[in-house]
Amino acid sequence: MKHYDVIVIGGGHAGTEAAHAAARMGVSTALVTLRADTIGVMSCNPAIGGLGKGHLVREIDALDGVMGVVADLAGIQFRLLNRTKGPAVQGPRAQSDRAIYRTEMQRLTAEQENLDVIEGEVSDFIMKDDRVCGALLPDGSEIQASAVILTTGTFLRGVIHVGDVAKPGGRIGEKPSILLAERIDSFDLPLGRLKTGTPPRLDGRTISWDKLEMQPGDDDPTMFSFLSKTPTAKQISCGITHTNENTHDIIRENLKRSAMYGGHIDGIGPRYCPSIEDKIVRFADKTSHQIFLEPEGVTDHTVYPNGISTSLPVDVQDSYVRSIFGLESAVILQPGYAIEYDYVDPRALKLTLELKDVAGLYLAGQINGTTGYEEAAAQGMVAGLNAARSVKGEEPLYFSRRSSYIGVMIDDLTTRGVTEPYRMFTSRAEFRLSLRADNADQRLTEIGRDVGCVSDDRWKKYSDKMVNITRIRDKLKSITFSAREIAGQGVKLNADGPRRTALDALTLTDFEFSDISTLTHDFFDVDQVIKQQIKYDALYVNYIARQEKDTAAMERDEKQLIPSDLDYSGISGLSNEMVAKLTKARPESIAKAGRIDGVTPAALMLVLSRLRKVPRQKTGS
Amino acid sequence: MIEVRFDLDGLPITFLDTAGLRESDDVIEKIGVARAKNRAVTADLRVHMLLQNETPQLTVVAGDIVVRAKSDEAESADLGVSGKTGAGVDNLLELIGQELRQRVATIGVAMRERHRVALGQAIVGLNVAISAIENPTGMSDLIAEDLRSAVRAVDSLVGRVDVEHVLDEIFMSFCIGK
Repeated sequence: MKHYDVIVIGGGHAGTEAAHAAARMGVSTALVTLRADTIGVMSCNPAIGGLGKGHLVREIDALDGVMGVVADLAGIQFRLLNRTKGPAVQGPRAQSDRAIYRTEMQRLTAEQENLDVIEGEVSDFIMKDDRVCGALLPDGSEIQASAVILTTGTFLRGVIHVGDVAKPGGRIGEKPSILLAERIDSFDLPLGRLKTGTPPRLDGRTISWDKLEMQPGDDDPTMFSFLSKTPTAKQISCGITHTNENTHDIIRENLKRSAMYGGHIDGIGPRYCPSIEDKIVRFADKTSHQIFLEPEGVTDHTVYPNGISTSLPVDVQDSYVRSIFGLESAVILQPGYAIEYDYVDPRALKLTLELKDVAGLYLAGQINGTTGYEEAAAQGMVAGLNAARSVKGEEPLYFSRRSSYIGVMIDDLTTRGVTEPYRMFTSRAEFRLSLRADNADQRLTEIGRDVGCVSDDRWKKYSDKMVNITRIRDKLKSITFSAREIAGQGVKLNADGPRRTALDALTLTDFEFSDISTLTHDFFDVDQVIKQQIKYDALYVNYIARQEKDTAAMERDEKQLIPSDLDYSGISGLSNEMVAKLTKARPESIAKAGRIDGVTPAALMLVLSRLRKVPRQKTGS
Repeated sequence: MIEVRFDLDGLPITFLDTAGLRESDDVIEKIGVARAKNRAVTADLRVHMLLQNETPQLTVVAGDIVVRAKSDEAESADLGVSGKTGAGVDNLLELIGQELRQRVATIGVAMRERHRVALGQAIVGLNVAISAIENPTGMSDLIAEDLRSAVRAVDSLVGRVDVEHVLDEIFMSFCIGK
């Protein structure tokens, strides 16, 4: 029998990040997966990042995670989305070479200390009392552990639909995990059903690229990792084409044959990423939809047509694809399909992603009702860190909405649950002006260093960067300009106003470092990244100061912890409805209680006054 | 009693379903009916669902709406609603909307000092946002923040505007490319 501190089941994006996080924390970790050669496989679109998601990758990287590093190595086209809309909402995104991504993820996994990969399907958990303390393989071998992290994605009762043909399966060509699903059933967890879809994959050699509009990457690529400088893989362009009336007619005529519209699927799909059938029905007045033709790698001919995911039968996919400009003779390598799967209502989880009712078992990724590699990896990080901390007998590490998108996501999931596959958006963060992709390291790397998941190498680079930022900032504070000088640089400003420091002047949107150099003949011999960081911090400083009252209020509420065994029915004045809602949700803090649907401010006051009567609880981090 | 919150053409409406207001000897049911009547009397508008020749249990106040229940069972010239087929629900909602829109057009909801302050803050936020939109160097994320602060300011008057509502609006007309 083998012994580990932490077992991670599943080698997808949640599983790898969880395993690496636990291993970096210094506990012995096993990653159990059906096949070791599928670690790091991108099962859906070959891209990392995007709006909101890019922030998550940056935060994972700030905690020394693997996703950002691997995505940079595999990146074949880097684009900063929302480039013109202000740094707080910009989303770094990169097209990935699937093969490189998988190879690099497997290499890092093999190199990681304290981390073993075990091939096999986990058929059951080992239980002691009501605690999960290991995993059982079909050959009867046992792996014991103090904590188990389950990251099985869509494998829980996954059903794949292509038109009216349905068959069980997680990803295409792989078996679903029925045995494990039965064990999960026995825990009596609240389950729901969701669906997601993929487009048909095309053979790039059959696409008429020469007549298509091509979109190259950015001239100055924005990397994910704070450690990366420039792309290393060959860079490519993506093609752009559009659906047309003919395409829409073909789809409309065949709607009944679609798995979704034919009534074969009950799961709920995402609002923000509708299938092509959905788009035709919901936006009936639109005569065309954009499609990005994304190569899946530099040596791979497969092309991912982003924007036409579908559950129509294969022959219909063939004819609608060929109705599209540039795809007239395109060959489908793998048909698009929809997949339905079970998820566990994440309200059954603590903020550490451990189940409230099953000690020792953590859930991360799509199994919690989220979608996306980045959301999965970020949860893996949270589960991995906390599983390791619990093994070491340390306090849980909570991520706050005030300081990270990771915190926003975990809080959203565990407080409000999901009604559709959960995806990150910057609009979910109340304090998005301070939660930027550019300052993720300033928000999280120190926390990571304190808990022990940040390596010496990264810590040194971060510390050097901070020394430089402080040095330049101090220097900027010592330089002053008259309003006339600033206005003379073409900045919109009353020329008769007071003098300002150079740092102050940077808070003006149209005043840049280059203006300081022109006025002082000092070129500030530092990295562009540091100049940019100082500029961005300055841009938002006044807004962030205005939010201080809101952040302070949230911090106060987060620190007002509620014991998990608090008897709400014993609080006089609390209505039965409130007692029921609070008892069901078991919120960890007043901040969480306030976000439970339907819980009133009056009820919160009653809970608060009850808490004040009992000895004060320890505060969270 | 079932409560449903509902956005009817931008009006935040709470529907209360009182079930049957029948006479009863059962003590608990009596209390239930009394409470239901009390809630109904204090509501802004009552929809009286009556069968043919049935008399209302509550006084019909001016502005109340009387509809024929179970309209699928018998033809009628009155406005009818069927819970079974859903027929007439559209007309009923339209009628409720018309009535309430007309009322809120003349009503003053801001009656406390904090309401005045909140509205003042919202106006400041909106004005800053408008001038930033017109400014070529205005940044979208800062403009959004000013709009958000305006929304937060009036939260206390109109109820919380949730991010899910915002996302709903966005994805009604748009889906993300990448």
